[in-house]
Amino acid sequence: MAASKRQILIIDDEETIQTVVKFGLQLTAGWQMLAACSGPMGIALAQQHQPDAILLDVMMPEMDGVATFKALQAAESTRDIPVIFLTAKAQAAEKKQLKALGVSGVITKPFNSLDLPRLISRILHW
Amino acid sequence: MKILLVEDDDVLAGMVAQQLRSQNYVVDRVADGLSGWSYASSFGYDLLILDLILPQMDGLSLCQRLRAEGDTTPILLLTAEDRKTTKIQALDSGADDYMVKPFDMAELIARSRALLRRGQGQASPLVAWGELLLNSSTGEVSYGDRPLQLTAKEYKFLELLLNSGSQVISMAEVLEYLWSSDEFPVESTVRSHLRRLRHKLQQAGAPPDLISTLHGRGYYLKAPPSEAGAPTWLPPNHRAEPQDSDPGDGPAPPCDLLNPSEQSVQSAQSAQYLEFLNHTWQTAQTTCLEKLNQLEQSPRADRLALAHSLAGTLGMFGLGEAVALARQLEVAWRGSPPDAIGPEEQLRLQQLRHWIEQTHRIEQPPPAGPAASPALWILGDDAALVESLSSLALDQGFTSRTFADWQALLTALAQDRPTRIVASLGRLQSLGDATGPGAAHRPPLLAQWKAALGQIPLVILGDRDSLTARRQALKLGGQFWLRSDDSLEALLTVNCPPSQQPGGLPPEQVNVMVVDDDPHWLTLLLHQLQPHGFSVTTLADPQSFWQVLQSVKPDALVLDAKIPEIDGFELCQIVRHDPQWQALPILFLSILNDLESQQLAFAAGADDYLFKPVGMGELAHRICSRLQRVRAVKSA
Repeated sequence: MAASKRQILIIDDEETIQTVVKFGLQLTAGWQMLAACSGPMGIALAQQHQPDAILLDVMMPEMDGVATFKALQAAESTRDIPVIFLTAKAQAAEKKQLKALGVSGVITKPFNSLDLPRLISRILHW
Repeated sequence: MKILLVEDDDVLAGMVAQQLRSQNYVVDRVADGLSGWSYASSFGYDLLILDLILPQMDGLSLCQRLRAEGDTTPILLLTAEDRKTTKIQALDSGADDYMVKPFDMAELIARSRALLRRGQGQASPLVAWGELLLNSSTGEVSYGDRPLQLTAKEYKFLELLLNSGSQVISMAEVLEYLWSSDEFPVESTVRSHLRRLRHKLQQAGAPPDLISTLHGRGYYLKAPPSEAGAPTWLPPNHRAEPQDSDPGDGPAPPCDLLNPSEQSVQSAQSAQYLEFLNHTWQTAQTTCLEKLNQLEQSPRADRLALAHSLAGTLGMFGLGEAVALARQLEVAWRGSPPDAIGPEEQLRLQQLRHWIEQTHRIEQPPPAGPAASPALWILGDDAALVESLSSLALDQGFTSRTFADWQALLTALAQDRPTRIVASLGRLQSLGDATGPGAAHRPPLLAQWKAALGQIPLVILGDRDSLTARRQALKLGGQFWLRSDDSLEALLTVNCPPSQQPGGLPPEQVNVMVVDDDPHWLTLLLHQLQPHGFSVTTLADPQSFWQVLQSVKPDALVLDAKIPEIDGFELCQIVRHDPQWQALPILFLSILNDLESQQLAFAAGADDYLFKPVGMGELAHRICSRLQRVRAVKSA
């Protein structure tokens, strides 16, 4: 596991999920976490803080995960930040579609937050 | 081991993929450079095999791009050009090896294997873990002196564990490693493979916990006595003594191996995490209930999102049953559902509310993954049949469990409910014979069997179609099925009528008394049991229990295990101590699904134990079965 202190941005409209993820990341890896509860807020935080990776919920009201991802890709300042989708469903077609978009990986909900740093490191080859 | 093959020639790609798969590798194949980039950057591969000339982005550019991104996966380039400059270009672009078409397939396999070993930091194809030895070039596995016959999936599972040392491998990683990106097996399929692998290892003499489970986290190889938690890579000519490895050939141990103290850190973290989840649940529970209220009053367009959000939140706390209910609602509200909430959704909503309200403590963190897959229980009379049924079950996403006799199956039914049971008529014969003339003391056994069976579809396999066989199957509560190899597949889907119920639904009005401190649940039971012909008396306050019992004189009693002040177990004991009520059927209906609570209930004199939430049909059926049993005992 990378020794450096990573900063992860989570964009998920569920506050409980943000809380639990934050705890897991800090406890097991000492990583910092930024949280946004909507796509537009997440994009603003990503531009401002340049996190090491973004965990992005697929299904959110108003601006969903795919639209948020496309917006992140379209902007110069956020284009290179790796994005991992969080999705409740692991349907073959859907997972493939998400990956075809060019995201770094997909993590299926529900997950155990203690595993997150390792899953993220593995997906991003940290 | 997972390999990505990027090759636009369909014929060649087909051949290479087939050869690699025959060596137990998982292969994804794409036909152009851009897809190659998208796959390689999204999925974790152990080796990339790239053609030099590709549509959209050539192999050299793809290779350069991957290396520029810091991807260190071994790359093997294939090309038709046998020119020195091309070779140099290839190696300069970051490729690890280079092969000129046409090439010898065996050489390609050998080079791939060498690159894979290098990628894993292994210098030799032999990996040992204590007595366990895996030879990746021959695919042979042995424990001590005994060879193991493993299926491809079992082999890969073991290989993954060995390559990870005592690092814990999560379910998600196992799924990712053992199956290609097109396949999406359920977790229970992994568990089935694991069960068999453990069984085979144990038969060869390995300790039962060689592959250990870290609850809620995953699997790891338990360090053999007096060895550090790292697999030993052996020189290729090595055979007999795995401990004699050459340290010079071995890899640097991966940095995140778990030694015992690290394992204790992990379990301390798990405990902390659990405590945190419980702390968070205190507010999340209220939030979930608020969402549920909101959902009930929302226009249909908003219901789907709310159900989805509930499923997501509940999932973080590992509340599998509640998540399943929320997901069912989510599915029901996809598309264009009617404006009003249907009766089935109403029931699910009430059950979901009940779950949320009744969850006072989170017992374990989420194990992750989809809801449980269907389970097939098999009681077969020959090994070949059991084997074909088990693999059929696996293919169709079922988990399977086999039993040696009906007694074992009956015992298991008290603790678990499969989706379907397939049994050979021969194996049920002694149970069936119990109903024959002269076996007057035995009918309760059959009644017990049927009560345990409830509404689980039972298919009874017979070798010959005869009226006698069909009659026996009917008596046993199953659907007769003539055994033949081509007809096995349909067994998993054949529609079984509910098992025949001696006496059927209550012939006269049956009084059922239900004691539960949850008013929602009592109202639900009252309305749902009446259509089944029951007269229901509900009681929320156990203080007046005895008076109500004496005045109602119920035919059956349904008790919750957790009632404030006096618990269901005590109430049950009190009832059983009165001679008047010794034969009263008592069923427990509880949110507590642990073995200990069940044992407590049965020790207190309960006849049956069901978990909440329960389908009303099943509850009605169980009550009827109990009544039937009482009648049978009386008439015997």
